[in-house]
Amino acid sequence: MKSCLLIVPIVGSAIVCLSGQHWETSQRVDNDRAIQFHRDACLIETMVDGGLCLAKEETPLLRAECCTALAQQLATEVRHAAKNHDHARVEELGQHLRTVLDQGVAVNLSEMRKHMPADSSVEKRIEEVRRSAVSLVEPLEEELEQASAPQEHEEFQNTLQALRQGWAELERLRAPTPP
Amino acid sequence: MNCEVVKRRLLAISKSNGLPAELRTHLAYCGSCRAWRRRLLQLEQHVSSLPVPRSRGKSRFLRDFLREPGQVRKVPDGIAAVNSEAAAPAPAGPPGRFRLVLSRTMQSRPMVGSLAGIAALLLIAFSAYELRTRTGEPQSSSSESISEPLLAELVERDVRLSSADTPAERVAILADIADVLARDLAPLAHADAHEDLSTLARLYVNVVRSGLLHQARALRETERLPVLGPIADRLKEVANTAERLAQQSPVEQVQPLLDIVAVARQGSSELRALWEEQS
Repeated sequence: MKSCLLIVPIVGSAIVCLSGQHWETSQRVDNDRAIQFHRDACLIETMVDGGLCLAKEETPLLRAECCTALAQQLATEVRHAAKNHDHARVEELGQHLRTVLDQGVAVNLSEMRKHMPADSSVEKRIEEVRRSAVSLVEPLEEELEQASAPQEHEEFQNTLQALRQGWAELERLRAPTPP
Repeated sequence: MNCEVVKRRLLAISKSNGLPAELRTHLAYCGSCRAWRRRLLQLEQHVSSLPVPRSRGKSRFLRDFLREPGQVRKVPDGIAAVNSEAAAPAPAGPPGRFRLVLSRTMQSRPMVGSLAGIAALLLIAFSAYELRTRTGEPQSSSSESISEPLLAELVERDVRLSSADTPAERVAILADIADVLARDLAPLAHADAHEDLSTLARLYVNVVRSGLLHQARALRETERLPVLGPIADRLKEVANTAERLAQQSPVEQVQPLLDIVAVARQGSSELRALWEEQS
């Protein structure tokens, strides 16, 4: 009976410790997510609205336009983070930008070109969308290369590489020049 | 003394005991009785190695021994009988002490069992906790891993939406977006982030009303039940979570949470109506 009395507080304190530790962890996770939400609120809103736009649009060309709008907002945020020397954020947003350019803009433009009728007006619109996406990348790339201090240059390498890959995908879609 | 009597007397005495003189004299002259005795000795020698069924006598004896005086036990023929010990007083001296030790041993068994039970429970609880912590399994919406930020999840859904061709695909992705947003409900409510919670609620309402419900109406009739059934359940869960959070939150946070409750319940019932309409 005495050993039983001894076991009860041991078990009780072990349970309290475990639940306390769990509570602390979940509190910390909650705080981190709340901070992330606050920091990304503007982009989150853009992405949700962009998603609704993408769900409504029926043609790949219109979807490519929606994605270009998303890419524009991301490029603005990358620039802003670079000015604040927030390397981690530049890298994170740079990867998102590349994803949107590659899998959003380029894929849809390519899809549009595959199924487009022999009509030059559609090709013209494809080229317009492509150029507007390229115009987001090129100046941003230059800014990152020039604005970064020598020690920052290394930090931005991954982002620059991601941007170049996105740019290369868009360049591949350049309209063939007439002979 | 004839052979019959000799055989009966041989049966009555054990091997270790010496033979009486009159039997020994008869055996000296009677060959058949000598042979009979030899077989008898052989039998006696081998009887101990014969297999015997397991006895329950010991446990029955202990049970009877420990039974409280006056306790009624059933005899095999079904007639209740009072234990013989009931009438007799408890034996004194060494047997009484033996009984006390025995009964203590038997009584300590439940305690050993309960200690083992507590230890097992503790071990199971600890293992489950460790497993959940290591695998990052969500225990509630609030303990979701932060490894995948909301923004990254939204970018991934948008890219998928940009190549979704059918309403079924779009409905599934929009429902995913709604779920991803709902995951941040508890963290924002717990962090007292009123403005962000209002933004989240507005986005959630838009996704469900302008996205999910709109696309769900475009689904083919045969697709409705399999696609919309699980989504309706998830919306209901979100409504319950938001309602629970609203009950625990300060007044400023209640309205956005109630907006979510309303739209999630409305969405769930509208989706149900869509597939019930079909059936």
